[in-house]
Amino acid sequence: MRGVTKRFGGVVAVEGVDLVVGPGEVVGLIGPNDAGKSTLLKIAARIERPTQGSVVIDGRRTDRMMPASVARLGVHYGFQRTRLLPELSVQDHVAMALADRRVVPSFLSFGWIHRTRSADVDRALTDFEITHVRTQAAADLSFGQRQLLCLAMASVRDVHLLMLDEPLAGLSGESIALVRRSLDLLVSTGVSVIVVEHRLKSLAAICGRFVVMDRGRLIADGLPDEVMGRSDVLDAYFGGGTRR
Amino acid sequence: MRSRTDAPRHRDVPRLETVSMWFTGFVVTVVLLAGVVVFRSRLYEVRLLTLAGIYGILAIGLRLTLGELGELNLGHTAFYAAGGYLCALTVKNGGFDPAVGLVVAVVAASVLALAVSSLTIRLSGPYFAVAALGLIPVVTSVLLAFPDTTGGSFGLSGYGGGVTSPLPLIGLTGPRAWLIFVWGLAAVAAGYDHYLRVSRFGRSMNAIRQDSLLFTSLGYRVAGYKVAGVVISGALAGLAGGLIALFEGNISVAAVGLPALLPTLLVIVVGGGTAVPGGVLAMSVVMTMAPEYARSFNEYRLIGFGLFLLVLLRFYPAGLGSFSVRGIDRMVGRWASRRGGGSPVGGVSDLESVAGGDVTS
Repeated sequence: MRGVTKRFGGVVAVEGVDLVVGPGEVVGLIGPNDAGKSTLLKIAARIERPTQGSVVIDGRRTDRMMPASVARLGVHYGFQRTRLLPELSVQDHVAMALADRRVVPSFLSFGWIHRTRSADVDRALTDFEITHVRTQAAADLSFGQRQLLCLAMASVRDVHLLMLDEPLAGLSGESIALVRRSLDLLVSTGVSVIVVEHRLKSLAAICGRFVVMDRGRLIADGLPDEVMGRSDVLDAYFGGGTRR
Repeated sequence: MRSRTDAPRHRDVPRLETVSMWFTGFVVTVVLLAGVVVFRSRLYEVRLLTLAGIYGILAIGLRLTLGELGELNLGHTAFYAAGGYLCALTVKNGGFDPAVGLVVAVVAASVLALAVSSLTIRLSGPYFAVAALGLIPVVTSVLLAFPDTTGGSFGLSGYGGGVTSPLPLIGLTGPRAWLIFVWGLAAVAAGYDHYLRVSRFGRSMNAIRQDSLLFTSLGYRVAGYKVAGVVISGALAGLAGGLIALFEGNISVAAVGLPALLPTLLVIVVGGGTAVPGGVLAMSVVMTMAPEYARSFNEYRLIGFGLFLLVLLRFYPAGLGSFSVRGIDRMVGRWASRRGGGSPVGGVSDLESVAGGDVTS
């Protein structure tokens, strides 16, 4: 990601950001509200188009590609506040993340769950401990269950770059440990992960690197402890440093 | 390996949709039975029922985009007009068999739908609806601009169509043969509509309706599904257009363009646009037959019709189609709870949302 800038009308959301994430790296993207963190992730996922600058994923320039094509390269963006289809069941969500994307074959198969992939669906539901709610509609899930479902959907895809927007929000300690285990599993296969999160302690346990944004700019990049010790970061994050 | 017994069975076809299929079959059967009864009565009613079948096919096409894709295609009757005119022209000027005319109608309407949906693919909601509505004056103007070919505002006639003409393909003649032919096609259209609902294509359209951005972010090309949905819907409108041209024996812009839009909309909204094709077919029968029987009430019939709509939509906002679905749904629910099972999933979820499981996060 080089020189990425995004303006919404007169508002500059992201300004001149350069960021490189290596394979198998887990980066925590932190900063105060409205710092441009989510916008940066959306640009990387090509949900937003950068006003300036370029994005390269796996050696291919993606900022001019179709959003669906970028997703097919193995880019997964987990929306903030868990975006799910309210009427669709839990198992169908996972199956939807697995299914064939082409239009024509979709006329010839029934439902989301394909016979040959149903074992994969079952495994993901078991891994994320949501098997007992598999037939429930997403609208009826608790917030934590929604988060776990989003991660289960990401886990069944052939993902190279995983971006999660506040995945720990609303999760209990046990679930955070579960998320951490599954992230470790994904990272061991070479997946790059960028996590936006406000729960810094939990985040530091997951990430090897913190990147701090403030008012659209990158202001710090380094090891979590190192970054959190810097006074400019504390100022930006806590507005003068009230508590850690 | 997963054993067969302990794994919960995937429910590929939710019960609501199975019920909708029953209801479709029910309606089609009732209509055909009514047709048989009418066999001994007036030809006028046979003719009205046949028209209801054609309107039903038109409405099922519109239901597909509104109910599944969530887009209101106000230009739907432009496909209907294009199909009707091209069918009439193929038979009249080309001298082809009416069956060829029907095929031309379907293909032409599909091509027009493909062009329009490709152009408006980035639009959704009211913007799509209004852009699509713009198609009707375009098609109407083109039809009126070539009076030598299209007959201008008088329309086309004298190409051998009409209720006494032989059926396309089959060659049988007579109003009753038309009735069965049209309702056969309507049943096929309803069956196809149901098939699309349960296919992964239908599920994809539904996903787009609920959240197209999420669907895109998973790597699905929303545009492809949207275009395909509009094209299928346009093909059904083209089929209805071809049928009306052949059955009526004349066609004019006063009958097939903008004037046909409102009744079609009414049919799907009141029939249950998001629920079942059966309700749509039932409503097209009601819409066609009721005004004729209520003629003796004069202007009171409009008041009565307005009241009927208000009351129906107040108590059954999901339309006529939800009548039987809810009744059967409750029966199945009671039966299941007597047997000690929980409420089955997949029913009318807006009313009977399934109780949430334990939160064990």
